[in-house]
Amino acid sequence: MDMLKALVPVEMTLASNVALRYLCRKAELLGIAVQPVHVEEPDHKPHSSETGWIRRSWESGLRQAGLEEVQRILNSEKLDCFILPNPIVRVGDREDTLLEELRLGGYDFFVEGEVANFNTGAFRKRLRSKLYRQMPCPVLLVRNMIQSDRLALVLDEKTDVDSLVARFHHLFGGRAVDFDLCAYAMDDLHQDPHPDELLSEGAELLGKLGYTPARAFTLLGAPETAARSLGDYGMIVAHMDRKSNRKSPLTEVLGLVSSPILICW
Amino acid sequence: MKILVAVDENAYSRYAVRQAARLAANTWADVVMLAIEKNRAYIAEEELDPAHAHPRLRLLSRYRADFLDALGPDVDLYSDRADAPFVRREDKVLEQDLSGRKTFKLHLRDGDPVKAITSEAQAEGCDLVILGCGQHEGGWGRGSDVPGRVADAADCSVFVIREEPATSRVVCCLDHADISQESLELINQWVTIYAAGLEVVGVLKKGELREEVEAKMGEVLDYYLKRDVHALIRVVDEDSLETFIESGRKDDLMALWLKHKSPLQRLFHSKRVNALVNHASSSMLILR
Repeated sequence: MDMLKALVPVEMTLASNVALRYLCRKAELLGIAVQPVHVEEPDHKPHSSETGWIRRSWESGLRQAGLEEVQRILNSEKLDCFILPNPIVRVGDREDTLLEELRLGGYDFFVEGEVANFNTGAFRKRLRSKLYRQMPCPVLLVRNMIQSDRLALVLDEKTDVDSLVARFHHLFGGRAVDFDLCAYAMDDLHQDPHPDELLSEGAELLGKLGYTPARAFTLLGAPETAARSLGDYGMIVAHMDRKSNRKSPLTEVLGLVSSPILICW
Repeated sequence: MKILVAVDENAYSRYAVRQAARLAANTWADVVMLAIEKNRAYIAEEELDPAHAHPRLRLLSRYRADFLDALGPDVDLYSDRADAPFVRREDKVLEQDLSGRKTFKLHLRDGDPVKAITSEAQAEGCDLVILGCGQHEGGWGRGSDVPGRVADAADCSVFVIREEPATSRVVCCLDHADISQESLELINQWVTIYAAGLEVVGVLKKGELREEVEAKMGEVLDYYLKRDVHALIRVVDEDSLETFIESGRKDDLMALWLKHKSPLQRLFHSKRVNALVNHASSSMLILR
């Protein structure tokens, strides 16, 4: 079984710290190798020269400072999972640099931390960002260090179930994962497809690949209530169509839930 | 640790007494139980039986029995005798000292309940005031806003208990980095007592989590994780904070770290702390 490769920004923030710690605790479950990346964003003040050795030495100074910061963070956390030994440190725009690395590096997923907000505006803004709109792989957004190893695959009427199941298989194939299948809707009236049909479709596709959910259930209610009900899961896995469902009720649930969320595109 | 339990004749005071007992059993606290009566004066009061002259002394004795009941027979911290005399102290407080291995005193004061409770907490050097509160209203007499005013005026932490709590979540709002070890331990106690989940909520100022608050949230998280307390982190915008606290449910315990120079304290100037405590659905813990 191959190890998955995850690109993880290492920064001096609480969110980044939580993401790293969560990832290392779940390293066995996920079977991942962590590739740390750090992007130093230069300020936009004019420098004495935009080209030549002055700029190159200024950039190399920034890179060196970034590398030292990453090493300091990794050392202080005493993480015992498999972290690739050479952190990538770049100077440039964070989004562009991360996108470039994700495209070139062939990563299985991107992992970053986010402190959940009761106002889901920050989450929606993140979904609208260039990084999330163009990311070539799933993203694991870590909000808290949840101890449970149980996963929930959450479907709604806009979910591309085929695509979600394929991603799930790619990431978790061959690993002993304990997961539930959940169909979410505000209510089950006029839902097309009906939550029960979604559950059947999901269970059938998963069954073909040899997976059986421990429990399949429909979750009805307002996003706040649903988010609370899903709070005990160690990870929520959902599919999102980047063009059409950034404003769906499921997106609200994903914005509010405390657990880490794996968003497959 | 010294706890002041303020009681009146309403059912919520009984809940407050039971919760105080649970905390006392865990922390081996010294306890003062206080009742407040209206100003009154008797001619030759010393010749009267104190229990007849001051009916609230009987109330205090009943609550003391409830307190000892809630502790259970295995907790041998406080004496169960009832024969100590009532003594009128120089500061007019009527006191019955029923201490065992740990201090347990019944106090009766008269006058305005807010002044009586805050003065008592200060005079006794209490770390925590526990008092009950009506649902969606302060209680302590018709139209009264006593719990809110006590929460605002006291120098120490104040726990306002709404009803018999089935607390499943403790939500702590943090907007400054200067929080005491005692307050962290107090949260730890309630989380353990209720077997509740813990959420540490940072307050965003203009959409940003200030650096020192972020660092403190990290420390708080570490503190609880090291003690195997499952803590979640979250942030809330300063503008939505009041709505967020008011939206706390009956099974939540909302905790606010207030300091005199805390931005949260400025945000919740007196009337708002008062209103928030009196009108919230959840129990409130004001940490100082």
